[in-house]
Amino acid sequence: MRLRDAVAGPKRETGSADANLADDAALVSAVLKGEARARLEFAARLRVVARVLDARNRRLGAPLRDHELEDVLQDTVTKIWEHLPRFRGHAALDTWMYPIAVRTLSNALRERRNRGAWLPRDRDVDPDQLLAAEEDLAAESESLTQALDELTPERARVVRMRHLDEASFDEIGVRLGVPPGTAKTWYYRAISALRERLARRSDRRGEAL
Amino acid sequence: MNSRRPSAHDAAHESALEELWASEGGARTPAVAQRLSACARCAELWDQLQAAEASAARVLGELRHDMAPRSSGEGAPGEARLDAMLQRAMAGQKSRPRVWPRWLAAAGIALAVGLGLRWAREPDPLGSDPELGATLRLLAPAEATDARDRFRFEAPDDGGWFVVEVFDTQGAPLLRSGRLAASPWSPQPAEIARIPQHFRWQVTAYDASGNFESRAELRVEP
Ligand SMILES: [Zn+2]
Repeated sequence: MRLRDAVAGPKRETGSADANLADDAALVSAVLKGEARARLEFAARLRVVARVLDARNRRLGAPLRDHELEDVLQDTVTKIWEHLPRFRGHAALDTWMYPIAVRTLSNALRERRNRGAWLPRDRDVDPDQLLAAEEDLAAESESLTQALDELTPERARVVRMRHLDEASFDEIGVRLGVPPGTAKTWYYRAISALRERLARRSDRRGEAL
Repeated sequence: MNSRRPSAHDAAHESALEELWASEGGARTPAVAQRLSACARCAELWDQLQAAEASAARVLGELRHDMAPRSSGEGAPGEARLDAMLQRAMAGQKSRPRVWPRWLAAAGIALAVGLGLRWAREPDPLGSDPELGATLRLLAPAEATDARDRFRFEAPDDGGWFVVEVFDTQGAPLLRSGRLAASPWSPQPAEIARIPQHFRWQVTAYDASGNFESRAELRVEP
């Protein structure tokens, strides 16, 4: 039951697009310098990771027991720490950590599946289908997060407001202090930039062959 | 694949199309339709724009769903335990070298900065050649009165697979097919019964290595 303790938390960690990106970058930089207070604050931000792992495990029919999920959480925290020097701050910390959590969980589930140890509590679910879906999400969230991280912080923020916060163009306009029409144009320009990044990533992969 | 490269396409077309996408708010207006029918590359770009938007909606939608506070299991904060995990990670880091993905090391730091994060255990991205935005067209059901026993779509056959998903109009997931080699997907009768009058369905294409390729959606709405 210990994982559930880590799942709790105030709304601060719910990843609103209004979360201050400069704060995220400054926090990460302080953590990397070894500042103890920053480390404690960063640990609090990790609650969202615990929450994500718990939510996804439940959605999959809870194949992992609490102590196993605890191991996945430790693995995820370790990977986040290992990749932290590459955090640029454009994608926001919660969004940036997400694919790491999804990939670590799907790796653990794949390993479990290979051992024949999957224990879905719902007999109607097909473990292979669920696992494939989980791996698909891991791959897609990796691509998307990397592309978002290459956008300007402003553009990445509009995309997050729209899809993470489900904000209307009216709301986005209010938050950014511009008319709704401008917010809409900014959003579609951001998607355009995102398309270009995603296409360039796939081109680079093609050229490398 | 050269026809897919921007260099094979009039750059003025590209910027004009992106301008059109922004000014029409992603809608397929008559002006857009005219442009798309006149130029195959523009049509392909349009599909990529829609796929990019759909990808942002799906990934961030999943994240939103996963992060939503739940009434059960919300107990005392667990920072102390998470801090202990973080410190274990930090301690492990000091005693062993960082594992850089081999392709990232080869590509150099400049590319690493451009690419953002990647990690060692993911499938090797060099082993695939995804054609993002490859043409994917959803055919039926397209109207609320259409039968729902067969979800038909048109897609290039490149050895990959497809996944069909059905959502309600609020975006909540309702059904998901397994991996499909081809159109159509025929849901089970019990699944068909769960599809409301109005809904949204989408097809995601993956290449043979499982890399995301493209996605298209169709809204069956009033
Ligand atoms: Zn054109």
